[in-house]
Amino acid sequence: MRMTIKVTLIGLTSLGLSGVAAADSFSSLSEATGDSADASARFVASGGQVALGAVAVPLALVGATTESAGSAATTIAGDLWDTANAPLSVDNDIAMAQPLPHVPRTPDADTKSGEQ
Amino acid sequence: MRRSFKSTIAGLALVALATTTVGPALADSGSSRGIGDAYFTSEEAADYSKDIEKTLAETGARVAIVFRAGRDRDQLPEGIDYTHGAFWVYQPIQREDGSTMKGYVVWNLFHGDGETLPRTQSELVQDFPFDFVTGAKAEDLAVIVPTPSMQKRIMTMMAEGRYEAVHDPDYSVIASPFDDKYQNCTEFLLDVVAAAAWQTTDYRQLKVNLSAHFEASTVKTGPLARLFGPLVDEQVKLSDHRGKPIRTVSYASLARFMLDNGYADETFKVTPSSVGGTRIVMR
Repeated sequence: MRMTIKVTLIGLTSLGLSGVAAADSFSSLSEATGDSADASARFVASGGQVALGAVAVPLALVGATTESAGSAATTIAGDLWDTANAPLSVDNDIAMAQPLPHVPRTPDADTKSGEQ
Repeated sequence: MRRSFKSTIAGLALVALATTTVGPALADSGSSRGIGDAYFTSEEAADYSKDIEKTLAETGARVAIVFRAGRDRDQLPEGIDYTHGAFWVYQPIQREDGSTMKGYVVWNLFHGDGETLPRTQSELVQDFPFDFVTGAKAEDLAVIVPTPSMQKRIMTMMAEGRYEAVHDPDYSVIASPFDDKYQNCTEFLLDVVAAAAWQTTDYRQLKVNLSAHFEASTVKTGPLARLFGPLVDEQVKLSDHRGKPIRTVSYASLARFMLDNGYADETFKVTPSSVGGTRIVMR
């Protein structure tokens, strides 16, 4: 089956890439998120806050009991699909994974041990 | 004499790979940090990833398959435009303060970093659209939107734990989709789609089915790279190709398979632009 390409212009939010060519750029994600306060300030222009260390709420089936999912679990319910293709809402916050932590090899050097 | 011979072979291999890259060019499924300097600033990645989320949300897609180029395009073999793909799943996201937000979670397959996990092994990792876009080295991303039925089947697999059942941790950057020897991120996507379509996680049965119905992409590479590639890069495996042309799963071949068989509604590409986005709808 041959694939033909049609170009449809759909407006997305302007990024102004040409204008940010000289802006600060982070060489690695760990740099970008190392100072969460500074990272938050940089993201204000996007209209959302940084949600560093966010985690996905596990998916669960209707009627299934998962201790870790809790009451906020997304259930794959039948009515979830009754409005298939209906628009969904997305929050403006930027979720991002935490950088890999450095854990000292020996306990005596591990000054950050214990839950925080 | 033996050391000199090995050095000569290694040198030839490096020359071959410098001119005809296969493994290094395709290797991108190692976390969302990508390889080399970032293409987007963090602000750009934040805006762009959020735009893509909202675009998917407007279509009502609860599951989408998104691809990025984690390498400069001029480093990629002919016929390969993207190096990493993952499921983007619409589900609640919990902030550190316990509150929840709405958005997409990215379900990836990443190869090991060589420290916490061998580079020849892979694991299933979740992160977020921002992290995914951060790893891109080209501005365009490709998207496949499965049909609502396929989206539901895939989400149900994820909820029931059957999603992990089709993961093969033995990693090859150019894994063949027609056997159970090795797997890369794009083959894993295909395997999940196939498992959802055929309603089975019997891996051998899936491979038989795909051998009959799936047309893979051919990776064009020179004979020297094919000969010496495995010597230089442990992630380059050729034993599953059995001397035949290297055929693997790409965005194009997965999109074609899903569209041709009614498993996807559409596929398109998105790009950031100072004027507006360009959505290339492919049929």
